[in-house]
Amino acid sequence: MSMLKVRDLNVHYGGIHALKGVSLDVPEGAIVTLIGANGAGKTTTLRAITGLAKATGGSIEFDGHDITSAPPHEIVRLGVSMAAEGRRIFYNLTVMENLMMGAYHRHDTAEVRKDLEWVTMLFPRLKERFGQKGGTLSGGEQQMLAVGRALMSRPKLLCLDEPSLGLAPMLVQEVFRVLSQIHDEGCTILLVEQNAKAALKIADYGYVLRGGTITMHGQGYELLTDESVRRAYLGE
Amino acid sequence: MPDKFRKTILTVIFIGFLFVVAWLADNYLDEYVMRVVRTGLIYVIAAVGYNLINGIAGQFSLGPNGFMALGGYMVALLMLPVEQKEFVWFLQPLIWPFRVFSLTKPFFPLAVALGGVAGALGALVVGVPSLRLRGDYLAIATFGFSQIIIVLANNLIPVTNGALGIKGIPEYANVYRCLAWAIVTVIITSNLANSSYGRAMKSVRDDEVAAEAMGIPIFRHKLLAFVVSGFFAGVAGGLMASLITTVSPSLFSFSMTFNLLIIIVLGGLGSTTGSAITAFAFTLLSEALRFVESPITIGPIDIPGIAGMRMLVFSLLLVLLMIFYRRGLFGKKELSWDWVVSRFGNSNRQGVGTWPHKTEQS
Repeated sequence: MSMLKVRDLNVHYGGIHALKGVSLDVPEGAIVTLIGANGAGKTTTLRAITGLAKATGGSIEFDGHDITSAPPHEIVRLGVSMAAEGRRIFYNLTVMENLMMGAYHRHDTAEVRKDLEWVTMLFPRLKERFGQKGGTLSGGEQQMLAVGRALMSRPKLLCLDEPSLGLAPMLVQEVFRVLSQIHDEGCTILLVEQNAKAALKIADYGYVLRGGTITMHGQGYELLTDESVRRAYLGE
Repeated sequence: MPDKFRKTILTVIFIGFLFVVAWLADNYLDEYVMRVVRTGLIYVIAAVGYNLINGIAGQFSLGPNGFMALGGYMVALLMLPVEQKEFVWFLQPLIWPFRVFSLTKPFFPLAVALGGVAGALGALVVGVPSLRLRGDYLAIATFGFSQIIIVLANNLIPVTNGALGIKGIPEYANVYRCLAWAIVTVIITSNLANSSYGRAMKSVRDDEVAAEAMGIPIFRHKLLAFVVSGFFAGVAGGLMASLITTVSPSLFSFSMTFNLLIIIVLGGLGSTTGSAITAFAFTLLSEALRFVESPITIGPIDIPGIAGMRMLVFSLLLVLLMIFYRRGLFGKKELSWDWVVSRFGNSNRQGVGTWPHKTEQS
């Protein structure tokens, strides 16, 4: 049963036709990854799903609701949350306040507190920095905060845009370790990555985007071993 | 950390203290100084309100003079005695219903509150179309709207008496009323800033796209900040009308916004404490600096009085601050009881850090 169904999605930025009929499915409980070169439309796809970019054609269905033209706050309420590209931490809020912004629309205080503990267990570093301002964190810590913040809405579907961008290899491993852990605890993940190898390794299914269309899709390990994917995106 | 109850007690005691100081000042200082103090308190209201939209929500508005004008005219229309109204509007009669009634002294706080409502409604009307813009575009749009309000004040003679203005407003804005409104403003603004609404406003300021992705209805929060800010601008305008006893379009010219902008930047954008303290200090200082505009003789050199020299001093101060202390006097920090207790209270309370670390706000 697929949780997220994207059909023939089109997005225009001004005169630029960024997405030309993208269709993809994210089954419940899976990790699905979108890979592709710069400008292929990966981020745009995520932005359209989370309501930050307007779809000019096609449809997006989440959990049985049509969210094609819903505003972002309603989509978040339905259970889609996104850690956007480039971390986008609130610099002048403390780590704690940043995390609480992720739970902004929730009113179940006790559950929110539990999730706060859960997130700080996933990222022990955040606990050490609890009262510090977001802007004073290192790049890796900020990335963890961005993922943690997205988790605070207790999403059914977590969308991640380049979580490993600009991180040291050690930290990349750390991020992917946490992603597998989150997934094991039952969260469905849609992952956009430049680091195709690491992404395909943990993904159940992958889509390859090129020039705004999907050129290939398959099981994670299939794509990982596919000759043309290896040449184009894995640098081998 | 002192608990909530203790903080409330401390706050009440502090407010009592302020009123005692105000009473002493009222009885022992002369009329001129008290006038400056009242002006200072009104500036506190305007600056703290302005800081909410510019500093806390991070939306660069240039409109407070327009909203102050709305509040000022509202109070003038409500409080001016009926016979005075007939005397003032000699070109064209004042519109009904203001022509036939006026509020008496006990209703002055109501008039000021209605002035605030006028400012808030103005902000709502301006905000709905213009808060979809960002940065410079928003600044230009709000500037345009405040100019429209001033142009209307100049030309809508049946309501505003045009450029001649309205004279003879009863002077009810005494130091206690000004102080009470200033305290109300500070309390409401800082509680709002510390609420979840306030955190949402700060997150919109820090990163609008991320805030939107978090599911925060950003437009609603910007509008809330703008309308509350408009309310306090209206209150400040209303009190100012009653303090000066006249209103005219030139009283609420763009230089008013410019002064407020200097105040909130000097105080530290986003700091309510900074805005309040700087607003008061700015008013006192601009009175104290009057001497630089009078003719000065230094030895053989005679400097004739130059009007506007005071602004030069402030401009210089602003330049120096931007070079050496860009975050303003308070940065984004707030003076809180936690800090005061940690500094001056007995030191056996654990877990209270020093000021930069442990303030509860942004």
